[in-house]
Amino acid sequence: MQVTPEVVMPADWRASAEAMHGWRLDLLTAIDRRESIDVIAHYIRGAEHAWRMTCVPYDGALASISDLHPAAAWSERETSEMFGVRIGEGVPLLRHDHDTRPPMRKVTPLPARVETPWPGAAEPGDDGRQGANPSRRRTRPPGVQPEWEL
Amino acid sequence: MSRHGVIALIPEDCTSCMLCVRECPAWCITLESHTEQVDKADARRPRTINVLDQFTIDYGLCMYCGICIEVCPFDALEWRGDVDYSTVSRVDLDQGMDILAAWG
Repeated sequence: MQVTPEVVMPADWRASAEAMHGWRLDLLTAIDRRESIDVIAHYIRGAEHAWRMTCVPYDGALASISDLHPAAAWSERETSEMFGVRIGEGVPLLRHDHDTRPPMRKVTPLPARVETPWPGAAEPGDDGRQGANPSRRRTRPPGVQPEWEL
Repeated sequence: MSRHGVIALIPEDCTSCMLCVRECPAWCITLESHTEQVDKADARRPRTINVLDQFTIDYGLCMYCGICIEVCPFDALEWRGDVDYSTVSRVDLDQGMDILAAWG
């Protein structure tokens, strides 16, 4: 199975999808890389797997491939609205509160992660009574970004 | 290898190091411990050890990723298969140390 995605320029995204004619689009999603949004697509043909990836700037746009691969329609909408990149000419459907930040961006705080006390904050052997270990460096909970300012 | 049914605890092997609690992406493990001094006749100074008081996995939050099992340096956590732990209330999914140790 090919795990390394073939990276294409955003302008060539449609051409790369066109070249995958006869393949089935299995997955289209994105990753916030803190510099750009990486949009990835996974195609299947029989037992073959193929990955295509492109880096879209935060304020960038990507052409839709849903006319070539109809399975992309919903995934494009989801990726576009959740990550805040424009894909095609879609009318927003999932998020109406455009004053808030896209939920899947790393800079967007997850309220539950800010409000819930992290169970890992306790030190080994620290039960709040006598003999507790002195608190050493502060560890950051997994999934909590530095800019959320706990 | 047993089925990936539930995550069980072997309390004797746990050193309360907190690694599993800190690595858990679902924040579903809580651990309480305290320190005790052990005096050994041949030791120059008394040693301090962590004693495990309570260890809980909230199976309402756990996503069975197994990261806690991977990070445990003492293999105090392991997969156990074929356990029926369904409950009638949400709070009962918070499984304590005695239950986690008895699974098998």
